[in-house]
Amino acid sequence: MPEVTPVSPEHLRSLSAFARSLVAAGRSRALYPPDHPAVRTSVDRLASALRRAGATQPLALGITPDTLILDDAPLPGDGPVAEAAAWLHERDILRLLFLPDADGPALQALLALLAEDPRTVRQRGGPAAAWTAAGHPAIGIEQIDFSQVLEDRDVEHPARRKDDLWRAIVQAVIDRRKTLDEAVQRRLLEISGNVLAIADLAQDVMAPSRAADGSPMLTSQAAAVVAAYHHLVGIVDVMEPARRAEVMQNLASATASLDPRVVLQMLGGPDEAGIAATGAAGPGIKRSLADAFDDVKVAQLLATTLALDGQATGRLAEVFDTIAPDEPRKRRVLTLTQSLLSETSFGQTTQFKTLWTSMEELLLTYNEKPFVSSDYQQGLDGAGARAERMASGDVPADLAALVDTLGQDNVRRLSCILLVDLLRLERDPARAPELARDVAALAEDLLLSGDYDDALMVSSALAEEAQRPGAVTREGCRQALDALAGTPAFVEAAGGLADMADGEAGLFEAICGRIGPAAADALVRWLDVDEMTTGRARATRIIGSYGARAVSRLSGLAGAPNWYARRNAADLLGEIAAPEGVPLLQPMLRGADPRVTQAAVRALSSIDDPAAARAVHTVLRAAGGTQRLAVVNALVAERDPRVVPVLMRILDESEPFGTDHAIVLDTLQAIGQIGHDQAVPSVTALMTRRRWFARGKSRALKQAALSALRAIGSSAAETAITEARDHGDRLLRRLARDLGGPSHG
Amino acid sequence: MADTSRHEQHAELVRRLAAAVRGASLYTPEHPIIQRGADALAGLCQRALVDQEALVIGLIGDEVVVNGERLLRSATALVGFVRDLQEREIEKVTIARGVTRDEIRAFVFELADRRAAIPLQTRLEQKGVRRVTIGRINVEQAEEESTGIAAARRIYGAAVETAESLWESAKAGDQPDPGAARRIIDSLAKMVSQDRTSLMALTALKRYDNYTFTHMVNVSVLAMAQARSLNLEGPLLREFGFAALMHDIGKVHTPLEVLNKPDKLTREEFDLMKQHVVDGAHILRRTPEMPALAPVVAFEHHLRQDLSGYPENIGHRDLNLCTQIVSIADVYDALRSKRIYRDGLPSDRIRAIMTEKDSPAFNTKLLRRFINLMGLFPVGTLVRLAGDEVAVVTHEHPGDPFRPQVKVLLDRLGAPIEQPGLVNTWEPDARGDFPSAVVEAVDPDSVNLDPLAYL
Repeated sequence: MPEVTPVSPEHLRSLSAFARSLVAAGRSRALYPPDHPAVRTSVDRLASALRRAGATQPLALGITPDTLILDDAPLPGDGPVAEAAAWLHERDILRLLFLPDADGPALQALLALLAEDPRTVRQRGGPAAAWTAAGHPAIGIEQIDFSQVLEDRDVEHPARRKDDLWRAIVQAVIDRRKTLDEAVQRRLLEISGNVLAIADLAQDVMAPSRAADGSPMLTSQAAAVVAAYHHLVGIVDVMEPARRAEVMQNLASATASLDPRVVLQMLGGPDEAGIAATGAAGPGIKRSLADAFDDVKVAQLLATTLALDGQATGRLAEVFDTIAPDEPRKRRVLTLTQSLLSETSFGQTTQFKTLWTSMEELLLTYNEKPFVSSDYQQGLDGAGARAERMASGDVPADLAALVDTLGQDNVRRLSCILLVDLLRLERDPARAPELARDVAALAEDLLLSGDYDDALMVSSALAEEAQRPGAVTREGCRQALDALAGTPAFVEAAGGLADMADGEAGLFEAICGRIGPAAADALVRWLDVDEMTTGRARATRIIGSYGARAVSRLSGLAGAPNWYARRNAADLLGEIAAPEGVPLLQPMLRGADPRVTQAAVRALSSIDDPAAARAVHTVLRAAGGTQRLAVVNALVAERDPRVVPVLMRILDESEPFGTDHAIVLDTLQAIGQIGHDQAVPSVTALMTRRRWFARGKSRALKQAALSALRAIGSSAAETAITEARDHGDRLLRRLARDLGGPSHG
Repeated sequence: MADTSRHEQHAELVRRLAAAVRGASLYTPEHPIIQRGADALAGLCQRALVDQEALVIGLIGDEVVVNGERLLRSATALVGFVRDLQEREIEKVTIARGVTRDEIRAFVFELADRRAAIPLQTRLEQKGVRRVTIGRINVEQAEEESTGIAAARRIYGAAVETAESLWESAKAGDQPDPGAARRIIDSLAKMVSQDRTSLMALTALKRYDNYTFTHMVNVSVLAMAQARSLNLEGPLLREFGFAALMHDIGKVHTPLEVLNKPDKLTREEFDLMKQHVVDGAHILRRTPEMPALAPVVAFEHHLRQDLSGYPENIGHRDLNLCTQIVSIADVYDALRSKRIYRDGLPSDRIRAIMTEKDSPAFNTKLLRRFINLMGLFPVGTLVRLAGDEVAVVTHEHPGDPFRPQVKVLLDRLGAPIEQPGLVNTWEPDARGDFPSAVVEAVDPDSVNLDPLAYL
């Protein structure tokens, strides 16, 4: 026989955790769809547990009904391991192999298979066949050959047959039925003589007592096992009383294989009158079991529980007191326990010595003496009566008013405040994203119900955290706010913008402010109208308040098919006046609709950035006569002085004697039409320029400049004309003289 | 329809219904938000009813079940909705195929109207709402607990065990089993309301010598007794019990050496200790079926009236009644109980600590009521006697602190007695009654007396 290497306590603990995660994930997968958060979380836990249990090596686990086998060695049958074994065994699995690359998808596939009804899987040829067809190569499955197993079991362990009679016994125990038929009683006698059969029965009656998340309900499980034991002892006491001691020993041995937490519940609970109910005499199950526990068994129970909990509890002390009431035995067992613990990693931790002292003290000093003072006891004793008497009298008005703090609206608001506070206080990076999502979900619900007051409070908290340097929730809050802007609740609320009363609209605007530019996506549709509606005005105000950050959100509107949508986009971009808006505005200059062109020019004129002028310049250069005229007309249409800097930049950056000649002339004409003094220096500078071999162009340029100056008509402009007439070059002097004096009146 | 899609449809439907009811309490029926909400809800119902005869929304505990399928608890709005329906004892809403938008609208508005004197079902019928009905779910009644000491002992024992298992679940990172907690709260509430004398004394047994768990149960019992004295009952009383039972659950994450340290905590240790209110709120808000007040109370129970205490740096709120009551019970039981490193403090000392002048820790009136509830009458306390006389306690009875010796100062009409006489309230009359029994403590200001002047 090959030598078996014992599993280290650390490895055992990680395997136990893996076993627990596997069962929990399987149950979770059976309850919820694969993309449900509960399943995702459980798969993540399972993957993490697998990594810890298997490290980087392939992990092969054999499965028996009672335990898992690793490297030919059965693992000690603690709760999770035994539970996982039974669970996998029920699914006909004989061996599981996890390769190092068994990751989330592989585990999801495995859980999907395990979540199926085993009968359905059997119809498909069993789990191994089903896995071969649709599984993942990172996990291998071998299945049980049932014909052989059942044959063996029938021959070797007749008491453990899981036949109809067995199921009837399990159901009778679960239902706490007192009357059993003769066949059942005979089978119970049979089971009472076989430790493994008793342990099987205990596992089967415990199995249904689980919470929705798959965790064991220890009290119910313990009660079920005790009920099963009552049946066994009862029938033996009546039919074969001479076997009582032997059966009690069997029960104790079977009990030792159970989850120690269940054993604690069994031994710590009240000694029910179960024996009496079965018509038998003798000490109760609890006492009998306790008596059947030898020192080693008790020490093992203590050591396992202490290692799991890291401390002694009053409950453990009570059970220990039940099993070992006399102090010498207590001390004997504790010495053994300490020795057992010292071999575990828990026993080797630095704080173990301190913990052991307190554990030992509690376990040794436990007794049934009164715990609190007698006057506290008396105070409590009459409190209920006094409460009733006080309730029957009048409750003072100020206290009655306090009851209103429990009203529906207040509790709802308190819950909102709580969530906001939790967000602000959060220091755990792992919990932060989920918390931010929860807060955003709350905001969504509040928006859906029109509770904008609270929605503002909640979104403000998200916004503050999203901007707080160093906050662990910062990124999560930013993402949550962006996501909130895309939710149906927000889109729906934005859709009602025009219908809101001013107060509500003010709150909603503030909420949008907290959410940030992402909110613009749901608001831009209000700008797809010609008239200035309430909705458009509100949406424009909100989007405008984002400034440059909103520009990219307007690209759709800027390219919309309706001219008024584009015009509104241009107007808004002009209001924002950020250089980022230039690329959206420039194409509008080339469009066919003069209203859009005009709005775009206006907008570009509002942008104090060379890029804006350059955009106009580029279009002027590229456009043909009509189009250029349209742009120029747009520039001068409203005689808006804001366009002057744009025109000056065009002048400054143009080549007046080259290809830009016509643009420069148009620009000078435009400057003249606007008639703003600010342009005089640029026009004057241009006027004095000249070039050989371009006499015609020089003349046209100087003529246009002089006309522009005259049209401006300010004293600076007239001074420039006079200066040109008196000191300009010959051509300029002549043209200026020809221009004559300013007309008056 | 795929299960996932159906699940989402049901979840959205309940969420919309909750939002619509909430909206109906904020806006008039004509408001566009309400119109839109009702339209959306009606549309969802009609779509869901294409291949289902009816939608049955059931409330079991704090769980929402639609057509037999449990929904995940989502946001606070839904929780508030569940609580609201529970308070009004509505456990089931059935929406039948063919339901119209008008019926949905009428139902939402009638449901939102909490002040109407006419029962909801009648109002729905009057409004012609035929395809939306409300009702109760038939749940098998648990076997009636027998009364008396044995039952009380069993209940208290089970409560401590449940507290322990809730604690252990939370410590393991799992969600505490609210079903188990509810069962035990139901039993404790019943005992507080009915079998008043036998239960409380059981807290005095060493048998349950684990402070953490006995404290959970004691605070729960004390909080429910206080709530009961304010004439609260039913689901609200149980909500107090629940919130009180779980108020310290965040300590599962507090290091043991800090939790059990007998000496004064260092600043760092105290910071760790303070974190339990935040952790507790997180655990409870993620636990399905947990009443809405439970995480709030876990978070707030170390706050004083002026919001000093901890957690610090929090938003403004008015402390709710449940938080205030649990705070009193928490401190009282902590001072009263024996710990490894000290005995329980005597009642007069506790009273002195808790009623410290100018202390903003507790609501003075609630505290006085609690003192009456607990029957704490140390020397110098002004008390009202069964005959309505006002007296000052001059001596405590060594064996019975609730029957002190008193000096009667005011007669039953409130008139001063010229020569105050001593009365031994422990002495029965010929019929065995106690005619001068102490009924309650009296605020000296309310009768304009300085009790110390008479000692």
